[in-house]
This record gives sequence, structure tokens and C-alpha cells, in this order.
Amino acid sequence: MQSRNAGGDDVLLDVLDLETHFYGEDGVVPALGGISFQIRSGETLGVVGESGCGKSVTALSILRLLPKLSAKTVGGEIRFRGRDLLKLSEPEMRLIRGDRIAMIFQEPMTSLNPVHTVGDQIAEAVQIHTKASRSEAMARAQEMLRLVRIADPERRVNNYPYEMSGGMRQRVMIAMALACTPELLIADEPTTALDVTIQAQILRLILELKQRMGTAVMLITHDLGVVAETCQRAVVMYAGRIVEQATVRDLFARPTHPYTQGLMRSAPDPRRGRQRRLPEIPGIVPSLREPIAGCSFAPRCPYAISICHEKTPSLRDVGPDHAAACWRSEEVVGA
Amino acid sequence: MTGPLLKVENLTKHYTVGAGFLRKSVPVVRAVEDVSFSVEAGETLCVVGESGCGKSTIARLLMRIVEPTSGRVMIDGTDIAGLKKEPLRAWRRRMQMVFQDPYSSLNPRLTAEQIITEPVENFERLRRKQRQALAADLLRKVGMSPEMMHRLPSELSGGQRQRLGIARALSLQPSLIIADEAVSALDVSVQAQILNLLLDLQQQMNIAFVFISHDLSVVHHIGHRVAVMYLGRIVELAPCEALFANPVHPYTEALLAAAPVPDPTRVRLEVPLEGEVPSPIDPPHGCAFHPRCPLAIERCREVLPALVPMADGRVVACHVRAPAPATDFSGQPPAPAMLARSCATSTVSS
Repeated sequence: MQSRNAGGDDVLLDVLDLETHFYGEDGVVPALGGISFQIRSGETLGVVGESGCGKSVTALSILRLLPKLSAKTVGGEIRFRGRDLLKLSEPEMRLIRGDRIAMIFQEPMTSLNPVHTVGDQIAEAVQIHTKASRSEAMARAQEMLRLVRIADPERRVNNYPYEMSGGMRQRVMIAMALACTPELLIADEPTTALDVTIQAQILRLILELKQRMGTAVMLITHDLGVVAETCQRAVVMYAGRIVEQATVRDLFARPTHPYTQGLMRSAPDPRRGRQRRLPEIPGIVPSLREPIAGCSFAPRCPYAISICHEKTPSLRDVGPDHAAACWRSEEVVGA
Repeated sequence: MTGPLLKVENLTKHYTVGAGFLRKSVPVVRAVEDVSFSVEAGETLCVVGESGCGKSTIARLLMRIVEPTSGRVMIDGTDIAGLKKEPLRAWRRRMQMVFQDPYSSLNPRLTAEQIITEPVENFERLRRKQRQALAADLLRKVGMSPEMMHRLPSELSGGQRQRLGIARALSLQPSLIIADEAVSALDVSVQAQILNLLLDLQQQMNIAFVFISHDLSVVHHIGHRVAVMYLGRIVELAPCEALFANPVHPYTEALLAAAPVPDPTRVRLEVPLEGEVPSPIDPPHGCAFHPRCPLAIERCREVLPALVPMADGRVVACHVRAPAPATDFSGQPPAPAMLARSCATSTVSS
């Protein structure tokens, strides 16, 4: 039923029908309504969508870092190199987290420990996952700081996070994440809090290091420009589901889901005119608290017909390595 | 026409930091240095730059939330810096502000009706009927249903809250709205709705905007003229189209090149700008951009470049790209009156 392209070639992460629920005072919220996607070795996959679409929940579900009391993955599989992460014990999971799958977050200040030097924090990550001695780990920390192009790493290794700028802290986070040469790096809005010139530096750094180390990257972002410049493939999420996935070139050349089209058209674009009205996506994102019959985008969709309000569409192939969850994708594409 | 609606001359704001009685010299943050510009009625002037460049301080200075260290802010020719309490209150009716965060800028205990009519009630008492009529009118103006007036901010979406913030700013029928990163916290589909709303309101009510943003695609979309700031100073001020088509200052150029473009077929050639913005406590000598500038020459390290008017109505502060005319080689900035005039040459096109 699902589009499962490229079965044979070196799949690193295979997510199948992943379902995650949040439990609040006012009932169960299905934050992820059964999503499936793959990441191949060494590739960069972009995950795009607006607030609340489930991008970050996907990342936390993969790493099993969801808040214990309020959220739970209730269905599906997360196969990493063939092993289902959801079936691992917590100690087994700890061996994978930080060593084979690492993560960097949007706000580097809150993800670094303010009372330890950055060198200590990188060395700690190294020592947890390798048999390195303290001095070997510190040497590795210094080497990593040099790799992420922090000037004067011999001195900076003894700095505390508050002594660094936002861009430098994000470099430290990257150094820490890559210190154990993971196979997969999950980056959740890594440049959103940064200025645009620093963002360009950090994105370039992630791509360079990825190439050097062969790490695959799952890049979560709300910015289509960032996806276009850094990713090979992308999935577009809306209200806890994947509505479209494709190679980045194809996604921008032939957006096939009405939401993807709406997203691309509503962003101001210097290549189109100024001072004109932007095409809006009418309405607002639905609340996931109430069950949605049919396609969750149907209430805002200019193409919606009666079936859209009744049955939820699943991802169907619309081209090579391109799938969309839309009943009317044939009419939508090229529109 | 008697002159610009808003005229800012040599505006400067220094903050002292870490003042302690044991310290001999108190470090000074030069948040805004010698900034001059003007805004015509119905025009949008965008202020762009990265964190710490002074753009939010400018918003606060214009609103007189903070007092300038020196310089003047004039509305219709009256210097608001000198105004005392009552006249200042009257001038505040002409200028309103829209804030970045639609969550923290609305009182969570007030209803939408109370929030958007509060500014008017500062000036006059309204009867219940009047207040409701005003609220309904304002809500319609920002594209919301009047039935929403009894809701609390917590019952509204982010986009609806930002509409409330705009309705509140509109309530006094200001001629100028200062929007400080007003769409930055919004998702792109909601951002489109708000940008459309701002463009509509400007057309209908001839409101001028000082639109502060770090997002260049938004600035390109909405601006008539753009001021690019770096470390507290304007480095380039140009008509919007000219700036994006042909950035003159190397910093403007780097800023435009760094912005990601949603086109995967485009090949990125530019090397991103190296280094980071220096501290405004101890800015570099000469041109503050010279440590990161690929074009820097000896003179850039020593002499502060003045804003030089160019043929297409822009002003640029760069020794390399916009050398001062040979006759005026003193390194002194041009007289503020002349500068303000050259900034105002390009007016609203539509």
C-alpha cells in the first residue's frame, strides 16, 4: 500500500507506520498518524512542515526521547540497520544514541551544560561510547573543535558555553554529535536561531563533515530554502502525516500535493514580483484532538472533492522516487 | 506635501554595561550610532541586519520606550525627544507598534475586545456599545470575525493573535506603525496571510511602516526602501528593487548571498561570509565591517566611511564601492540635512 521505493540499496533507517500519541488533560492527541519513510546511507533527507506537524516528534520517537509520562509510540517499526529500535532495551538503546545516531537541537544554549567546559562535554560523549582514556578523549575534543573550524581550539576547549556566541555553540553541538562518527545525524532546526550569514556557515559545515564522514543526515526544518540547498530527498509533513516525498529536484519542479504547492507559493520569493498579494493557504492547521475524517488538509484544499472528506489518502507513487498522499494528485500536478 | 512623516537625524544610543562602583571605566555598548533616515506617509521602510545590529533599539527609540543618547526623532517636523508627558501621549496616537511574539505581547487575562480597544480607552472613555462597535470594526479590518471579541488570547491561533496585535495598533488610526519582526514567529502560510493584511491596510489607510526584519525575502516583498544595518550603523540605504538587484555594500552583498533560495537547481558559488559580528562594546576602528570584508583596503581599517549618495538614490558607506567625492575627502559624514534629503528622494512608487 505504501510507496516503498528503492528497497535494496543500502537503507540505513526504515520507519514503518510509526504512530506516536500524546496524552494530555483533554484526551489523546495522535501526533504521528502512521508515517513511513527511509533514509539511505550517507544521504541528506529534509523533513519540512509547519509548527505542530510532527517533525520534531518524529525525531524524538526515533531516538526514544519522548517525555515518558505524556507521550508514547504506540505502533510501527523503526528499523535501524535492520534492527527495530522500538524493541531494544533501554541500555541497548543508550549504546546507539549518541554513538550511531546523534542529534543536534535548535537552541544550542539549552542543550549544552552551562557548568562544564565544552571540552569536558565533548570528551564525556567520547568516553561513554569508546574505551578512550580521559586524555585521549580531551585530545579528540580538541580535534573535533578544529574540525568544526573553531579558531584557537587549544584555548576554546576550556571555554564554558556562555563564553561563546550562538554560532560557536552550534559548532560545539556539531562537534559533540559527530565525535563518535555516527551513521545518522538528526538535526532539528539547527540554524533557525542563527543569523543568516552564520546559518550559511553552519549548513556548509554540516554538509562538508557529512561528506567526509559518510554520515546520513535527517534535517528537520520549516525553511524550504534550506531544504533546496542542502538535501537530496525530502518529506513534507502535515498534521502528523507525510503528504509528499520526493527527490528535492522533483519536489520543487513538480510539487504534487496541494499542501506542498501552497507552502511553496505562500513564501515570498524575490524571483517573483514584489508588493503583490501572496497566495494564502486559507484557514488554519486542524487540531489533532478531534478525529479528522478523510484527508486532514481537505478543509483548506482548493482541490477537495467528496472523497477527500471521507477517506484518508495514503502515499501513492506519482513518479520515480516521488509519492504523494492525495486523491487528486494527477490533477494537482502541473496545476 | 510638507516633508517626510518621520525624520530621524543622527540618532545614537549607548548603553552602559556592568556599571559598578569599583570600576573606573564603564564599558559602553554602541547599540545605535549616528543613524539618519526619513519615512514618507504611506511608505514602508525596512530595516534589516543581524542580531545585535541595533534594529530593535531603533524601534524602541522611535517609540521613545528608551531615550536616545543624542539625535532627533521628528514626526511632521516636531522633535518627540523633547516632549513631556502630555504632548508625548498625544504623539503616541500617531505611532503604534506591532511586536514579534504574539504570545507574550497580549495580556492573557483580557478578552480580544479589551485588548484591541485598550489604546483608545487610554484617551477617551467608551460606552459599552461604542467599545463593542469599535472592536467589531477593528476585527473586521484585520480579517477576523466580530464574534471572536469575547475570546481570550489562549483560545486563538498564532496568526489570529498577531492579527489582534495589528488591530490593537490600528485602533488609534496611527499614521505610522513600527513592526519589529512582526512575522518572524509565524509559519510561512500564516506569514503570507499577515503580509497580505499589512499590504491591504497600507493601501486602504495610507499607513507608513517601519518594518524591522531579518528575513530578506519578506523585506523584498513588502519594502519600498531598505536600510541595511551593521553594528549600529546604516551601511546602505536604497530603494528596495535597486538594493536586491544590485547590492553595493559588501555586507549587503554577503547578506543577500547567504539567504537560502528555494531552488535546488541553483548552484551556490559564493563562499559564505567568514567570522562573526564583532562586539558592539569595542567595535573595530574605521569601517566596522572591515575584519570580515573581502574587499577591505588600508583606509577601511582607519577611517570610518561616510554615507555617500549614489546616482540611483541610494546611500552607501564603503570606501571601495562608494568612495567619497575627491573634493570632500575629509572622512566626515555629510551634513544630516543633506543626508535625509538624499534618503527621501525615492518615494512610494504605487
